[in-house]
Amino acid sequence: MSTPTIAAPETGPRIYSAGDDAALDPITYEILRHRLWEINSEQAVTIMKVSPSPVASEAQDFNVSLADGNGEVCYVGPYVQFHGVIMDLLIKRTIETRGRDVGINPGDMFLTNDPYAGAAHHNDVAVLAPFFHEGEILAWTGSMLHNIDIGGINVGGFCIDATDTFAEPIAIPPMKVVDRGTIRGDFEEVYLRQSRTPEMLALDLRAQIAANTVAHRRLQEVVERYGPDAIALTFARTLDETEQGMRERLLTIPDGEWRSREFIDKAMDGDRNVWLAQCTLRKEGDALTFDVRGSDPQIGHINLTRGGLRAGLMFPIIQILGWDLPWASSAMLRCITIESTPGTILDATPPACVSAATLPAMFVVQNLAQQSVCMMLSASEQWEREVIAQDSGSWTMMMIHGENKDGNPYQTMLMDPIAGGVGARSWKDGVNTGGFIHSPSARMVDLELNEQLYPILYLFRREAIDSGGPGEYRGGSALEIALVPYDVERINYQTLAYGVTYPNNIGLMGGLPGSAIEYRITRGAEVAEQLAAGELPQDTDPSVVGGEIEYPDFRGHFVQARDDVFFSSFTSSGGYGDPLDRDPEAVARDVESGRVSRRVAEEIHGVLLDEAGEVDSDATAASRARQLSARRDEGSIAAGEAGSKIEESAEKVGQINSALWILSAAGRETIACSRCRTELAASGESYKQGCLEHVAPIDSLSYQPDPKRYEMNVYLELRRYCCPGCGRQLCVDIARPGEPLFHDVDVTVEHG
Amino acid sequence: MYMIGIDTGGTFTDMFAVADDSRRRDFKAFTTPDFTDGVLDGLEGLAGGFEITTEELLEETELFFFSTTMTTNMVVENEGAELGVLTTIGQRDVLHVMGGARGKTAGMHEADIKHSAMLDKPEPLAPKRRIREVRERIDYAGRVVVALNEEDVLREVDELVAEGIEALAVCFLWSFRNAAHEQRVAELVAERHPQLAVSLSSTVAPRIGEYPRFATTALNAMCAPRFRRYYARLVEALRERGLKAAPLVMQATGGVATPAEAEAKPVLTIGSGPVGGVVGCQVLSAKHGFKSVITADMGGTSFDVGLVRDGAPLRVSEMTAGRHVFYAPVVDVVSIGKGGGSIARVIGERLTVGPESARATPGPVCYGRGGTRPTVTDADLVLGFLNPDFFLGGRVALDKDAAERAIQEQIADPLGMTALEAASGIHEIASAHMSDLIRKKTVEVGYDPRDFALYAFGGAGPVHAHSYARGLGLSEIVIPLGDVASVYSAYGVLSSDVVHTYERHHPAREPFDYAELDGVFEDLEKTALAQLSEEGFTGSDVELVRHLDLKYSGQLYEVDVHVDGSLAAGAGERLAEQFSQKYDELYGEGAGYRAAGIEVTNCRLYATGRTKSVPAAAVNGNGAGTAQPFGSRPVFWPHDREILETTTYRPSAGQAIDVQGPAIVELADTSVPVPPGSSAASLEDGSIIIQFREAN
Repeated sequence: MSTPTIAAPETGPRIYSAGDDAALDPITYEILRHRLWEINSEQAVTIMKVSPSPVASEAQDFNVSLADGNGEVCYVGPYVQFHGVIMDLLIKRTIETRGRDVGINPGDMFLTNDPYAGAAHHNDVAVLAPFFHEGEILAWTGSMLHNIDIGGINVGGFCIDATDTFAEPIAIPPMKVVDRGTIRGDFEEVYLRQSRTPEMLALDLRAQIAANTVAHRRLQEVVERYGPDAIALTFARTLDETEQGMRERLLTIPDGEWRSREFIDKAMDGDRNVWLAQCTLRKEGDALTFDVRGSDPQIGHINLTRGGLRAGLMFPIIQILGWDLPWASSAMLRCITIESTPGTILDATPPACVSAATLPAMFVVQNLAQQSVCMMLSASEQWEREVIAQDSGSWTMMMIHGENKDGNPYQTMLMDPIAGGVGARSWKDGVNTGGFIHSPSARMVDLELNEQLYPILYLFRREAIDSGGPGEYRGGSALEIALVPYDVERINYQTLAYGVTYPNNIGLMGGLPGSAIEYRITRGAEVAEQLAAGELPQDTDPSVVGGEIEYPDFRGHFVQARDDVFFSSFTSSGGYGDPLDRDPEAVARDVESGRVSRRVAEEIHGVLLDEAGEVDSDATAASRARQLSARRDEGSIAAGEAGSKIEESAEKVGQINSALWILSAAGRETIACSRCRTELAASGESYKQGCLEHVAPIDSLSYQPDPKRYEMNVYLELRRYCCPGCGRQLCVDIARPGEPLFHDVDVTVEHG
Repeated sequence: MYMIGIDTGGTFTDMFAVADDSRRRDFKAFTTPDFTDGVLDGLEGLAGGFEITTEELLEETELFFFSTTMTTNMVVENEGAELGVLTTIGQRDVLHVMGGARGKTAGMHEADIKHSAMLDKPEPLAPKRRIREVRERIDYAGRVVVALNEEDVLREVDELVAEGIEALAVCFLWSFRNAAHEQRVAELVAERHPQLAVSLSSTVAPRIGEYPRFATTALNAMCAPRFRRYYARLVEALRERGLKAAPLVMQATGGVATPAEAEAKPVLTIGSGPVGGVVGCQVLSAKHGFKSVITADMGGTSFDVGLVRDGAPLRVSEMTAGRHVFYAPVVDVVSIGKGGGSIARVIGERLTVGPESARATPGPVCYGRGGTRPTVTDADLVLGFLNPDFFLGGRVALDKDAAERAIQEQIADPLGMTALEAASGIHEIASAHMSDLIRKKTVEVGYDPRDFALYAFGGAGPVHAHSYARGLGLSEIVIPLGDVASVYSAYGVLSSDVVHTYERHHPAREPFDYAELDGVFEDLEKTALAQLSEEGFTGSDVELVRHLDLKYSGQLYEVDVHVDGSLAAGAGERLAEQFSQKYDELYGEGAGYRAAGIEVTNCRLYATGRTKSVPAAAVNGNGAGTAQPFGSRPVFWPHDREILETTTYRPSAGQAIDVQGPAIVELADTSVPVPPGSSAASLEDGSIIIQFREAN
C-alpha cells in the first residue's frame, strides 16, 4: 500500500481570457454592466430570503461580490462594505491552494472563514463559487455572511474569554463544501458539529449556496446570449474605468497628509488601559497611502488581521470618495498602498485573538479611514459636500442567551444598535437613528419581532436626548432602550464595546463628539409592582424604579434577574462646525423634538429659549458673545504666540477646511481663520499651535457620562482649539493627558 | 345601458365606456386640482362620443368604477390631514426612527442608496408633538401587561383636538393580537370627538411589525378626511347628473371597493393607478387564452411592470409611498425611471440612458419645445419607429432633423459612431433595462419569462415591446385592445371585481392542528361572506381563496402558499410538499433545510365579489375589412442591425390587422412596430398580437 499523498493536479485551474481580437461595443458594455450588477444584487436578495437569522435578513450583515476569473472584484453590493471587498484575497487564496491539491472543478464551491487567510473574523463565512466556461474559470461569485454561532469558547463567537486564537471558533481555510454540485456531507457534519445553533448554520450555508447557484444560472444565460468574451471584457473594462475614474478624482484633490487616531478602552477582561490605533492618509497625485504603522502591539481581543485592515480601509474610498463610480473594489485598490506593522492590533499575527475583530478593531479601522478621507475631502472645495463627520463609532454589543419562554435554548445578538446616528455633513445635520454608513441597507428589527422570539419586554425604545454631537450641523441622534426579562427568570448577557469611558465619535471642524456608550443595570427594581399598578416606567433611575444602579463590565458577562432593568444607549455621531454657529431656530426645533436638552442648548449652543420654546434672540446673542469672549480669555495659545491678522490682499491658495484657509502674502504662506483672517501657523505646521487651547475632562460636556464610573488607569481628556481672533472653535480632539499636541493635517499648496 | 371606467392620473383623466351593444368610447381629459371637474369634463367627452348628453349617459350607467391618484399625491407631497397619533408609552419615536436605515433606503433606487452624503429619511408622518403616549401595554401573546389608562387617552386626545387635528391614528404594540385597547380608544373618541377620522392599527394592518403597521395606520388616517370630502363631492356631482349606480373605487389590492370600505381604508387606494392596467390584462388574457402574462406600461417617465400568473395577479404584502413603508396586500407593480423622455448621455466611453427625464416640459428634442438633450423618443424617431407627421394622430409634429442632430453631436460623435448606430444604442439600452426589470420580477421569483405572454400598453409601450421581449426570449406580444392602449388603465379599472383581503396572524409550528387552521379560515370566511352579501354578492358571484404564509422555523421571510380547500380534508397533507416545491423554485433545489421544521405565520383570505363583465367589442364585425398598406419608410431595426424599407398601416375603426414584419401599424396614440420575422394579427376584441416565427 502506497503512502497517501496530497493530490497535485499538474496545472492549476485555467482562467478564461478573452481572445486577442475580441471587442466590446459601448452598447453591449452598458447592457452587460447593468445585467451583471443585477445578477450580483440577486445573490443578496436570495441570502436575505433564505437565511434564518435577523443578522442577515434584517441587519444585513453580509455582502455579495462578483469577480473576474482571477478574483478581481468588479461588483460589490451596497451592504456591509468590508465583507464585499475582502473577497478578492479569499478567491486568490482558493485558486492558489485548492487549485494545487484537491482541484477546482465546475459545480464546486469553497467555504472559508480563516482570519489568517484573509477573512475578517471567524463568524464571517465566505462561500465562493467559480463559474466555468468550457473548462476555464470565467468568473467568481461569492458572499460573506455573519453567522450566529460557529463555536468557540463564548456564545456567538466573539471570544472575549480566549487567551489565544486556539480557543476561538474553528478557522477553516478554503475548503470544498460543494463538490461538482453536491454538498459534501462529511464536511458539513464537521462544520455543524462546532455550532451551538446548527440549524441556523445549516440554513445560512444553504442561503449562500443558493445565492451562488442563482447567480450562476443567470451568468449562464448571459454567456449563451452574448458569449464569454463579452463578460470577460465587461469585467476588464469595468476595472479599468473605475481605476481611471478614481485616479482622475484624486487629481482634483490637493496633495497632503491627514492623520487620525482611535483609542480603545480595554483590551481584555481585567485590563484598565487605553490602547491606540493611528492612521496617516497620504495623497500624492493620483495615488493614496494608508499608513497605520505606530499602532499599538497586538493584545487581548482588539486585534484584526491584515485582510480585515485592507477591507475596512476601503469603505470610505468606495462610499464617500467613489460613490458614483462602479463599486469595483479591486480597481480602487490599485490606487492604494497600505503600510502596516505585523504584530500590531491592526495587522495581527498568530496566535493573537481575532474572533472579535469586527467589533472593536474593524470599527477602529473604518473610523480611521472615514475621518482621514473626510479631512482630505475638506481640503477640496469641489468635494467638501461629501464630508460626513464620524458616524456611529462603535457597536454596543448585547449578546443574549439562555432558556427561552418555551424552555428551549436561544441566543442572539440584539441588533437595535444598527439604528446609530449618522454624522453631521458639512452642510446639513446628520441622520437621526439613520444607521451606519458602511452598512447602508441595514435595518433595525421591529421590537415586536424581538419580543416574539426572545424572552424580553421593552419598556421603551427611543431616540436618546443629547446623543448627537453638537455642532453648526448636529450629528444624528442614537437610540436607547430598556429591557426586562419576560416569562423567564433570567437573561445572560455578553457585552463588548469600546468608546464607553470617552466618546469615539469625534466631530469635524470644531464640532463636538456625540455621547459615549452606556450600559446600565438597575438591580432589584420594582418594575413588576409598577406594571401591576398600571405604570410602564420610562426612566430606569432608582428614583423612579427603585433598586440600585450597577455598571456592568463592557467587556464581559452579567446576568439580568427578573427584577433587574437593563438600559443601554448606543453610540451616536459627531457634529460639524462650531456649535455656537448653529442656527438658533434649529436648536429650538431640536429641543422641541426631544433631541437636545435645554441645558445643552444653553451651555453648548448658547441658545436661550423662552417658556414656550421660542428662541430668545437677545439673550442668545448675549450668551454667545459671552461664551466667545470666555474662550478668548480663558485659553492659552497652544504653542508660541498669538498671530496677527493677515491683510485682506492676501490670496487664498488652499484650505484645510472651510474654516481654515491657506493664505499667501509677500511670498509667505500661512494658515489663518477664514472668518477673521488671524494667522494661526505657517503652512506646513500645525494650525493648532496658534490656537487657544482649552483642556478639560470628557464629562465637562454635561451630556457625556462620567468616565470614572469605570476604574481605568487613564482617562482621556477633551482638547478644544479656538481662534484667538474671533473665538471660533476650530477643532476638538480627544487625547491622553500630557501627550503633545496632535498634528493632524498638512495640505500641500500647489504652485504654478 | 353603459359601463364607465375612469383612471384619474396626475396629468390626464382617462375615460373608457362601453355600451350594451359593445360600442366603446374613450376620452382623455385633463386632471383638475379637485379631481372632480376633470371627471365631469371626461364624461362630457364620453357622452359626446355616444352622441348623447352627460345626463343621458349617467342615467343609463349601471357600473361606474374609478381610480384616483389623489391619495398617492397626498402622501408623496405630504399634504394629508392634520394628523395626531396615539401610541403605547415608550413608542413615540417609532414613526421617526423608521426602522433605522430602513427609513433612508425604502423606496430608493440603488444609485441613490450609494450616495452616502445625500441620503436622508423622509419627513416623518407626524411631528413628535403630535404623537402622544398613553399608558397601556399588551404582550406578544395578547395578554394585558398594563391596562389602558383612559384618563391618558382623554387628556391627550383633547389636547390634540385643541391643536387642530382632523384625523387620529391609534397605534398600540401587539394590537393585532389583542385589539381591545385600540377599540376602547375608538369608542371613547367617537363619543367625545365624533368629527375625528379615527384609524386603528388593528383594523388597518393587523400584522406583526410596529413600524410598518404604525406607518400604514398613520397614512390611512391622514388620507381619510380629504378622501371622504372628495368622494362625497364626486358622488354628489354625479347624482345631480343622474347617476343611480354607486361609484366604486379602485384599490391597489386589484379590486374595486364600495364607498364604506373605501372610506374606511383609503390607504388601499395609494398606488392603485397602475394596478388597473394589470387587472385589465388579467381579464383580457383569460379571454385570449393566456394563463400567465407580463404587463408592461411605458409612458413618458416610467416603465411599470406587473405579473399575472395562472390567472391571478402577483401580490406583495408591503410597499412604499412617499418613501414610507406600509403594509397592504397589493398587486405588485414595480417601476423604473425609463420612458420616452429618458435622457441619453455619454459618460467616459459609456452610453447611459436615464433615469434623468426630459418629462413633458421641455420634453424630447423632437417636440421642439425647448428640449436640447436627446431622449429615447428622439432615438425611436430617428430609427423610424415613429412617424414625424402622425404622432398622437398628427396632433404633434415631430422635428426629426433636430433629434438626429442632437444624437449626432451629443452621443454619436463622442463615441465615434453614426447617428443611426447611436440611436439604435439608446433604444437597445433602454430596452435592456426594461428586460432586466422584467427578469428581476420573473426569474428572481422563480418564473421563466418564456412561459409568459407580454401585454404592452401606454403611449410608448408598443414601440419598445418587440426589443425587450426578444431579450427575454418571449414569443408573443399583445397590444391590448389596440387603439385603446393609451387609456388602457381605465379599461382595467372597469374590468375589476370587488376584492377584500382578510388576514389573521396565527403563528403555529409543525405538527399543525389542521382543524384549528381550518377554523381560522372559516372564521375569516364568515366575515367575508357577510360583508360581500351586504354589498350584494352571493352564490356563484363569490369566490374565496385561502393562502398561508409559511417559512422554515427561525426564518423571517415567508413564502405565500395557496391552500386548496380544507386543510383537515387533505390540503394539509400537501402543505409541506407545496411549500418545499415553491421554496426550491424560488431559491434552487437543496436551498431548503427540511430538518428545521415549517411554521405558519399568517392566514389570509382573498374574497372576490364578481361584477358584471365588460362586453367585448368586435373588430371586423362591421364589414370594415382588413387594413391595407398605407405607405412605407426606411426603418433601422436594432435587432437585425439594418435599414429595411418598411410598410406602414393605419387601420380605421373596426378594421382588422393581418401583416408580416417588417411593418409598422400606426394607431392614433401609439405606434406598433412589427419586426422582421414576425407577424401581427387582430384578435376579436381589437387587441393586436405579434408573434415571432422563430423561437428566440
